[in-house]
Amino acid sequence: MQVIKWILRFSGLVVLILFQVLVINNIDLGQYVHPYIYLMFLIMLPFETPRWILMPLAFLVGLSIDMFMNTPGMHAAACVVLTFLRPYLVKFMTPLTGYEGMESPSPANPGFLWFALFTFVLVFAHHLVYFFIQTFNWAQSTYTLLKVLASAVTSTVLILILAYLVMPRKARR
Amino acid sequence: MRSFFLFIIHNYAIFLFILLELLSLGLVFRFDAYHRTWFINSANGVTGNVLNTYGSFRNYFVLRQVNDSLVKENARLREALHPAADDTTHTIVRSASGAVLYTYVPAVVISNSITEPNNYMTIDKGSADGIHRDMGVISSSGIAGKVIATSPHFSLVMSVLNSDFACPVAVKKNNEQGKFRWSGKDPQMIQMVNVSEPGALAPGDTIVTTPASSVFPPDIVIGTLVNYGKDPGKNFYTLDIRLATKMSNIRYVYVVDYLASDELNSLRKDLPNASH
Repeated sequence: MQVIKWILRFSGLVVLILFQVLVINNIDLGQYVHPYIYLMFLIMLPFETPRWILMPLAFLVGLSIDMFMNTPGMHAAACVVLTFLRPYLVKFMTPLTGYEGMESPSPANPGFLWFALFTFVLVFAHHLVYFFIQTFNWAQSTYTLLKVLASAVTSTVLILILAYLVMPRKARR
Repeated sequence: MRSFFLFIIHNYAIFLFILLELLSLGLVFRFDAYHRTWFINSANGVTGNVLNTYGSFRNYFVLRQVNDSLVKENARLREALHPAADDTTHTIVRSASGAVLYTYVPAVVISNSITEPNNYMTIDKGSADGIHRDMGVISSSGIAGKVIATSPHFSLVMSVLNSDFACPVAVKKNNEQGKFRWSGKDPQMIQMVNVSEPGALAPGDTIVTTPASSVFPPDIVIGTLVNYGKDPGKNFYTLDIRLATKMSNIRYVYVVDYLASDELNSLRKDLPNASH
């Protein structure tokens, strides 16, 4: 059962990466908005995933995006930061009832608002690191910050929509 | 010693984090635009084929626009080509004395970005088609980039929308020289900097490449002047230019081989500040 779930997860990852580099990256949404939806894979990994799996996995996912986008190491660095922060955030945001019986974060587990906030914080951290490494220029920091904010909001909304779409039907109600 | 190992094991997350960050930041900063390409080259077998398949699929949706621009391009070429021999893949331009000056290889852009601070294109011709580093890439309307790495069937092109892209440029009507620069924000606007005395210019004046370039033929259009002004505190002017090539939907390009470039570069290599 677990094995099947992981196979599903990784085929989802391949679809996400292709969707990111072939569709999303080809849509021109202006100077400020560059959403990265492939982060959904890292955000929705099981709560219990140990760090020694999380971080190297994030590194490889980032690197494969880098190969398509000609940005060596930039996405990898940002993804590792995201997964480094993730366990702290999971602990910090523990709901009153705990994570009893929940396997991985989704709009139903523990709840929509929780998931939206969780996604936004992680996406924001990723975008902050990515865009600042990319510009590598403090003189443009206001411009870069605006870019981070606009892109993070867009990425979060897109990930929420996608996460809702892949939810099992009985959980949607 | 034992407590040292225990310390590492207890805090392995931090060490793993630092290790992975060093690895990725090493990738970011160790390679400049040229050295960076080993990474992309090794990936070209996979990414090149994925992008190529997708590109051929996407081509169907832009056939109409492409047709229009090709018809125009054909008409222009027929007019422009004075006595020149050409076969099907290479167009050859000769000098007045009959020596071969440039050859043009048509290619298709299979991936392109315009939103990054440093943009690149991938085209579907590679070293097997005679493409090599430092060849210019032009579209039907103006310059588009420069080849920086090749694999047998694909080439990586540094787009003009790249902070590392440089080429000598001039105002067509009075031949005032300057340098090409992209500010990294608007994919339609570029700048011509270090112009000492622009003379009387008007918006709409054409900016072209100069014979000083070993990459592009002279008089290839770069764009049209929008406005210009003196740099504060300096004796130089900066010209804002609207790029002639629409980089957002670029599809068909020509790779220019300037056959005398090696000769020109070897002549210049002893100069301390030679620009190319």
